[in-house]
Amino acid sequence: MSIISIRQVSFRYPKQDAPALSNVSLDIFPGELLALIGGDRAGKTTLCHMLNGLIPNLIRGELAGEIIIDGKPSSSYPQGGISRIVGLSLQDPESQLFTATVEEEVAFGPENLSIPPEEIDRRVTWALEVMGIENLRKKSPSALSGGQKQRLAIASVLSMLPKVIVLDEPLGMLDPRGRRDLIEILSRLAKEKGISVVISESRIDEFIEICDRVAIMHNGSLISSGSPSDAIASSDTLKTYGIEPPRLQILSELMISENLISQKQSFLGERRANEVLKSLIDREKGGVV
Amino acid sequence: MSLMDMYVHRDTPIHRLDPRVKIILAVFLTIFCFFLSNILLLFGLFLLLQLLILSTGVSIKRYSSSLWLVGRFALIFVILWPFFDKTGETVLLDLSIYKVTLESLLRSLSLALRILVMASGWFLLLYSTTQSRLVRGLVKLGMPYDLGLSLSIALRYIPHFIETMDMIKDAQVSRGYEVDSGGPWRRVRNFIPVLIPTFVFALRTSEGISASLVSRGYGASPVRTYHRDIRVRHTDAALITLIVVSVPSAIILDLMNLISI
Ligand SMILES: Nc1ncnc2c1ncn2[C@@H]1O[C@H](COP(=O)(O)OP(=O)(O)O)[C@@H](O)[C@H]1O
Ligand SMILES: [Mg+2]
Repeated sequence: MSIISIRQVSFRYPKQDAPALSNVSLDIFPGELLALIGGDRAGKTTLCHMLNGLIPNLIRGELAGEIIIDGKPSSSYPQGGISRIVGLSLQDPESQLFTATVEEEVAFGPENLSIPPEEIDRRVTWALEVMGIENLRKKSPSALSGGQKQRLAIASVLSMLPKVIVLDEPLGMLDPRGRRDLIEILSRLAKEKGISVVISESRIDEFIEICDRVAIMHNGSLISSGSPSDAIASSDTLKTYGIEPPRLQILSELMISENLISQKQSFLGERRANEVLKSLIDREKGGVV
Repeated sequence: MSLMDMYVHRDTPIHRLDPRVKIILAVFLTIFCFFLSNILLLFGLFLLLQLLILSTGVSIKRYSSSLWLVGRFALIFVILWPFFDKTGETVLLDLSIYKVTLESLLRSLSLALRILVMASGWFLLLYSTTQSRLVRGLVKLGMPYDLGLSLSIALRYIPHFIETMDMIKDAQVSRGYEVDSGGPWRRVRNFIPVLIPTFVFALRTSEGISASLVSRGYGASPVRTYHRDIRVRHTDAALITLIVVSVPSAIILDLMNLISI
């Protein structure tokens, strides 16, 4: 059973000629890590806003199709109601951190949900620990680094204990190390807590092997979705969609074209590449002996 | 610099006071300063407030630059005053259009002190009160929560917009726009390429903020709980009583000319 189900949805912003989304269907399942990949203007942000009901409840436009969140149409929820089910961290962290301390920021959501203070305190501590920023508790959000702001933005939706968290381009401001750490945390949330995690990005290098499913978007349409190797076509196709292909995919394609490995041995990420390359080396050694 | 960024991350007795004590103090001082002219009382109050402000742990460098923003106005008053007020017996300086008498000097100093005392009350509040405790205090004093939240968000983003405006200005200047030259009308016109992007940016940010508020459950429940609610302790209650009683009595005594210099 999916938690969010989007059926043949099209959406056009007011006064725009082209639709931002055309006939998109997508399901989000419990505990999965879904990568929503697409270039600039692919419609990622629009889709993210749809996953937590901001479209159509706050942001208006011409909408067709069905958006079902936890069994009910998203438009049937009262204001703020969907926040108990879906947490969204916006593309721009600056517009979502508006309090004076990290702790207040994380408490803001549960306070709106009328959670008792002792319980809020437990949740704040938990969310800060999960995101690894417990030591910043009394700091001012504006004093944090880009990566820390991003973690704080996620902690402040985690404290509402949603079933799904949607992150719109969370990796942009991070260095490679920070990206890997954050993805590690998100993957643990999905595996251990059963929270569905949706990450929108224009590149997928760092988490190709961690995500369960990939959905590729281009020009408002969902091009493909499925397991990473199924959804991701050739690196050239990705490039035409404005998506930066995984670096190892380029290597893999080269090795296939040079007949070093077979199509079946193609790889996208580090782990699989290691396996394939090791077997290749073993074979070479075997050949020599 | 934002009013909210003024908060000094410390834990001092002033910080621990109920925000209502500090709000009431700031408001009463502001009203008080409209009525009170006794220069000794004002000076004493000014010194007392400076001690309290420094005890919040604000760095002297930071505080003095903030105080200077207000001090400039006070200074301009003192300098310009003799043009308009030439009355008084004891003449200190007489340049016919600019005549300084001891009496008028005291009057202008009293006005300057009123401005400084008024500002100090608000500095004390903002240095030692986090945004959420400030809003909580205002709400408990009767302000609607929505209004309190809007207020605190506005305060949080104003400096962000100013910063952006400076950035856009620098960008336009580096592309060869002359923003700061020509006559006044030309300057206004030159400023349009800076103002419009800033406005667009502010609009985008505010859309982001409302999206973020709703996503964080704003309005989901008719009653809100508070992670750390404020509670009036005995000290707070005593201080509120002290302010509420002493400030009006000082005004009455002053108006009745019972304290004199
Ligand atoms: N608030 C808006 N008003 C009008 N058009 C918008 C708005 N937001 C996005 N669009 C348009 O919708 C399309 C998809 O944009 P978006 O969802 O932001 O894509 P992405 O996040 O993948 O870059 C773009 O053509 C964009 O110009
Ligand atoms: Mg986007």
